[in-house]
Amino acid sequence: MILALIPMALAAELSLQIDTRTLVVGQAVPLKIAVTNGRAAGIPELPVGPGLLAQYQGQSQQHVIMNFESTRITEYNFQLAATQQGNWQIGPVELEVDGQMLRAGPVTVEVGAPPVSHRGQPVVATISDDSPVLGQVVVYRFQFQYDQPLVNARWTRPEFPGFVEEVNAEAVQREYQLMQDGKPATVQTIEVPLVAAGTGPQTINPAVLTAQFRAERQRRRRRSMDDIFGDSPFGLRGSTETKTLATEPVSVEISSLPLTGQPTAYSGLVGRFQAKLKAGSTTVKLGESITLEYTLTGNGTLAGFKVPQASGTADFRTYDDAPEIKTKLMDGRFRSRLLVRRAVVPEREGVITIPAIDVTTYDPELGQYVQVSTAPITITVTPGEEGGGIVSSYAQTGGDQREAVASLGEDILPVVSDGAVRDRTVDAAKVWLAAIPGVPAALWLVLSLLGLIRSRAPDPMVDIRRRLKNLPSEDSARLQAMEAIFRETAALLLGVSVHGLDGLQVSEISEEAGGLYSDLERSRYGGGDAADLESRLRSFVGGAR
Amino acid sequence: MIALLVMLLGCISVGDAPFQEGLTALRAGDSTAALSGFERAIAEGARDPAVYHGLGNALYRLGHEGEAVAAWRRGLALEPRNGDIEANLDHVRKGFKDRVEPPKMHRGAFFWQSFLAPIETGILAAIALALGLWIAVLGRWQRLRGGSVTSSNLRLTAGLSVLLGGVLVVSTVDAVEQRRGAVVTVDEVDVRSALGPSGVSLFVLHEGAEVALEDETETHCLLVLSDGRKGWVNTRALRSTNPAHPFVFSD
Repeated sequence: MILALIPMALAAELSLQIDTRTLVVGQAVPLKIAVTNGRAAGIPELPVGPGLLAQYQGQSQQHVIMNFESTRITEYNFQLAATQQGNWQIGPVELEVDGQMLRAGPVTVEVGAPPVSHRGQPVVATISDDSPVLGQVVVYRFQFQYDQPLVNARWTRPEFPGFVEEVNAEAVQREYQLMQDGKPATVQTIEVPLVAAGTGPQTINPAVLTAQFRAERQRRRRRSMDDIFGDSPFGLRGSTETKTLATEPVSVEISSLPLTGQPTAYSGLVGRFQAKLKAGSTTVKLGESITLEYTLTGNGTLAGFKVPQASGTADFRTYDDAPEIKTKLMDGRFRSRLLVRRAVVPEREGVITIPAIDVTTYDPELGQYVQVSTAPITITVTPGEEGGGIVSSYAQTGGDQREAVASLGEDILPVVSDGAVRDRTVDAAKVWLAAIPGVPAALWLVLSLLGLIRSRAPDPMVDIRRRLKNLPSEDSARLQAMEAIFRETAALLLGVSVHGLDGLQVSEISEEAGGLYSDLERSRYGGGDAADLESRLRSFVGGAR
Repeated sequence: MIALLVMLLGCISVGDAPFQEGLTALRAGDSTAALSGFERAIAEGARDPAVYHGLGNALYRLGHEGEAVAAWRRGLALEPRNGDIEANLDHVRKGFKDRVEPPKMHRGAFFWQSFLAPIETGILAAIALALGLWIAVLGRWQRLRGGSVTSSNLRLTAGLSVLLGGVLVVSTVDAVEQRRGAVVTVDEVDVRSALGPSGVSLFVLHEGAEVALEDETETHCLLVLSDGRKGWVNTRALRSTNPAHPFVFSD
């Protein structure tokens, strides 16, 4: 009983609940009007905009007990269907609860374009503008519509020649259900914001989607494990059908910005923009600051944009915060917003006018350059605290009181010359520069060649054979030459000096050599046969290696 | 020693008389005559920092600040330690419209380029190479005479000398190549994306803007700013900062 009394003590509430604020034409979503801790008299009326249709579905009730507190919630369920594009309001809802009139505030929903239909194709690729100008933001939209149970789908992103992706925005993926021709269908969309970067005709290749659908059974069969698990991974085996779907290519013609009539102060922005300048306060004490908020909203990219500074004035100084850029992408529409907070420090008392901020942009819809301006802001500067805003007051506090060195009659410095000038380039000295290392290099080369020549000594056997061929005709000289040839050959074979050669050493070569040596010795003193000696010597020299 | 070698290498003074005439005219306040004198000195081959310093001063006095910067840049390329020329450049740069950083005069890896002229690094390279080669000659001579082979320390010294010489040769070539810079000498010039009028105007440069050159044709140059932006511009709007190039001023 105590628990039942508690809700009576709590105040009743009325609320309007909807799952999403963004719909497309043909989409239907549930909507609830909830009454908490109260008893309503009758069914609430739900006023909706002309682009929406609300149908009452019935009511439900539930009790929730949490931390010994009982909450009773009565929900009135509606089905909300979108019929026209635009921003539509739902509510406000007024309902008498426990004798008291309660009110739930209105909710605005944005209804976008219905899915694109292209000859009944399940996948369609479109672009928000097929003839943009350089720097304009366009939205590439990939749409996949299906009415079969889908298991898995993978999208292959195409290349975007002539475009770069907008740096402050990301691709947006969305999925919703709708009724089409009396059948439920699911639509998945992927939107990619792009900035036109190259002029001329461009073609975006087809986007490819690989989808796995659950195969429909043709005839009734026995209940299997697949039927029991339904969509679970266990039920996929042998019951899916893979399809590869491709869109048509998208052709785009990007034109350059008109150069004629381009203002010198053109900011580089392309799109339709609105600017607003707002002051946090219009009265400020000298030495203090106020904050201005500069907001630039539009449908173009704001990447790299810098807010122009106020024209030079001695009345105030300004300091800018880093700009905040936010973007939104919805149904092919790109929105960007830049916010810069600028601190303004007045430098004198009285009324100060902060001039308007002018930004020149190019509007592709109008096809011309336009100036987006804010209104000037007037602020009143009152006397500050003692010494506030007067910088010279710090000079008395013992700080660094030195001043910068002032230049008097600043000018260029004259030539100090010793009178002799010459060519100081490398080109002029390259002969000398090459000669300094060139001389030792050449010398090293000569010495290397010399060493090479010296190292190549002639073969002594060649000389011996030549002498053997040309023996003198006179007998004693012939014999002397033969003996010399024998001794040199034997010395070479033994590796000893010719002068120290004796019979014992020669006999080490061979018995025949020893005999020849003895016969040559004998012939020197008149014995032996010289003709036989010559043939034996030729045989000995011929066999020497 | 380097100064002595520089003097020896360039012992044949050239263009002395026109330089002196230009200097006298400059001191007398006749900038036109001074300009003529310095131009003749350069035409005779006097590519000397003092000549380019005087030429820059004369052009500055005549109101051609872009041309003056080009002349001073040439002087500084020949003598990086010349503080007077650097002060003149700093002074005149303050008045230019384009706030562009001048191209760097040296690379970080070759830090000595900031205080050694290319001719000086060239001489050091030649000396280092010569030292290594003379040691090699000595070793070869000893071997020919049948003496002992060169000690390992001596061979190491020779190798290091040749290596040092090689690095300095690369540095010298690099320093000469880095002079591929220029200064805008006309009031305003369009920098385009392609050669000639077919290119889109990318940005505008004004007198005194110092740029690096990446490519050159007979009529156009591909220039690069220190922030990486590049584009083509007519050669007539630029004056090269290479001291080896001729300098003929026509008003």
